[in-house]
Amino acid sequence: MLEARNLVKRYGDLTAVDGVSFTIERGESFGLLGPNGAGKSTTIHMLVGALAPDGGQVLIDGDQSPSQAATRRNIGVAPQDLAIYEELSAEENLAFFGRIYGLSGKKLATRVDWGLEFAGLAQRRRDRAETFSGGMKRRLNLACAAVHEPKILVCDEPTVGVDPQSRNHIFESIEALGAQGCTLLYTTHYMEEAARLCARVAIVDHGKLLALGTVDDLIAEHGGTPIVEAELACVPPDPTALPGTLEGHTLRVETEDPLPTVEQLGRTGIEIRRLRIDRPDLERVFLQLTGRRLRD
Amino acid sequence: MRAIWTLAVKDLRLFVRDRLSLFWVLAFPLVLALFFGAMFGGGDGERAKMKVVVVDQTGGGATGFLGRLATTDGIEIDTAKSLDDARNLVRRGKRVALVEIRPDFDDGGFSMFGRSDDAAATIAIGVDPSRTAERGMLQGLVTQALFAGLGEQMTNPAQMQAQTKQVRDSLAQATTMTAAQRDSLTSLMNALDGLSLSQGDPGTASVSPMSTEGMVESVDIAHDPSRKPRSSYDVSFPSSIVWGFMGCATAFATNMVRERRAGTLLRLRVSPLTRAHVLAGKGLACFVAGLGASGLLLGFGALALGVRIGDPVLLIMSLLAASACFTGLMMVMSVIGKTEAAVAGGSWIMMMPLAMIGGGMIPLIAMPPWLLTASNFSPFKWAIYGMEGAIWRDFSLAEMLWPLSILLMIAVGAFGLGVWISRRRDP
Repeated sequence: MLEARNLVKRYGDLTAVDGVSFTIERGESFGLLGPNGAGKSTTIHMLVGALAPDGGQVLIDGDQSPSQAATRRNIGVAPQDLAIYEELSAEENLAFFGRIYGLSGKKLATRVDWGLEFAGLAQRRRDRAETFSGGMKRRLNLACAAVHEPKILVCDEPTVGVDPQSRNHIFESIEALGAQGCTLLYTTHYMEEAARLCARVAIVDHGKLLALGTVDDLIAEHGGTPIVEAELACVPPDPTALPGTLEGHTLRVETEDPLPTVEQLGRTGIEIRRLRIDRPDLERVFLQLTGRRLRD
Repeated sequence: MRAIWTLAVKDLRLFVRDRLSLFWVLAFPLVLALFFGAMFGGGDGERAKMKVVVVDQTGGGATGFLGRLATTDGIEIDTAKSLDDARNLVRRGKRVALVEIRPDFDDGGFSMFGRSDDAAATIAIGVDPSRTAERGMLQGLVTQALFAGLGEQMTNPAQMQAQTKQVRDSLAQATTMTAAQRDSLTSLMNALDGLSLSQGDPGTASVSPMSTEGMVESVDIAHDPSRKPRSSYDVSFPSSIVWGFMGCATAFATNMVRERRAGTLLRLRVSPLTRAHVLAGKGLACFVAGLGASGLLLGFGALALGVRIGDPVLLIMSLLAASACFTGLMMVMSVIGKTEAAVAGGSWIMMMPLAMIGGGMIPLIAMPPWLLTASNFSPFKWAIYGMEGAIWRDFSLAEMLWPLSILLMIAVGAFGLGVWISRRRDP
């Protein structure tokens, strides 16, 4: 459906995207996960034809280029910036973006109504966007990208700066689009979003693709084992009888199966003040791959 | 075309919802038109009169002269008690000038054969230093009033005879001329006496040897005399409407940068629209907005102030060309800077000098020759010239083609330049 082949983009001496390749299948939810400045938005701009790559190519549906108008008609883009017209109402924004994708008449009216429901703005359809909260604008931004029923929906950090309620609304909306068969390309630096929404994730940093796979595969391959961390009330006379490593009063045990380990600790009779089980996740995967955290 | 129209409608919606833009496009030009229209005489067509204070030191001997001066077009006089009072009024800017009529002024005592070199002036004129351009005009008006007195004297037999008698008496006592000169001049005085006596004969036309009445006639320069400006608003509205075009160009140039910054331009770029669609949509919106604003301003002027429309076909042509010209300039303005503030500021910096030399601020007639030459490089001049040509300069279609062609050339050149810079900056 969408293929990035060895994409390269340079700005002077800086290589923003350095040989990124991946393929997204029809109906798949695909995530680009990486910290700010990793090259996610630049990659997306090349994928949708807004930016010409210095190397490599983008192919859609086999042999089509995103620079062709007919191809673009099948793509919807929700940019990271709030790309809506503040002085227009929610309804006018949706109608405008529907029209430039060729919708008109009854079809346009139907899709505008759908967009208002999708964004949860049906009650405020005639209010100008400038009167909306940040979350409402984000939802409208997303609805404008989807109003023309694109086959591929590209969401560039769609939840930046929104409240939890709007974030959930956006998640549910995107999941609904995915359920309808829309191919989804999603960039984020929030691992929980990628884990929830994306069947496969590509982890990028410094313009390079570091790992690619399903969330479970990535965790299994790069996440390491779960860690049981216990803060002991006192250090026993013979610490070597304890599993794992003891640093001060804190015991850390790496284990494939945390529950038996916890039971084993309980049987020692040592008072445990605090207990934490740290399961591997995408954050840990990123830490393993880059040596730093996603939000560093 | 549908896509371009969709883009244009969207931009026009954004434009009419932006109060600041509407101020610059409608309110500001209207204020300018009303201000300059009122300043140059208002709706009755009468130019603002020069306010002059007069000090009469003759003790009543200049009544006739003052009466003639008071009825002179273009001047409004009042009197001051002393020369110091009059000077203070001019110095404080409350009057444009003062006219001092000195004690030895004699309204009937013109020297028919010239004044001696050492004779003192009997009238003095003082003008506000900031209004020196009006000194010559005031001197002309004062001289006109003086000669009108001389003309009256020549057509009045009693005054004429008194004058010739005075000259004959002087001749009789003169010692510096020859007998032949005295005889010739005495004969001339006798002939003038005879002429003045015949003024009262029935069937004889009144003749004055010094009269200039009827020598100079005002004629209309328009093909159709009814097309001359009915009021100063006919002159002030075209100049002000150009500011409306300028406001439109600035508003749409700023809007273009706002789209770039907000990300909506990216959204348009990744849509099925081409760059040409987007630019054409912006251009069409700016063009339509300019036409609409000029139509509203002219409509208000015509309905409320009686501004003439002149030749409607030529007027529409001139508005179309002017709007196209400023649409082209809008494209150049939009690439002046990368932020809205930079574009708005840069646009005004770019356009203000052109407005100043093009007659958008100071009327072209008040400019020195070198500035008039420079004004040929200003689109303001040609836009105003085109509108004036349709409204009151009574241009033919052929005469109109010159300003229209220049405006269209600027439109095409500026639009092309703006697109070229935009492409280089954002390939």
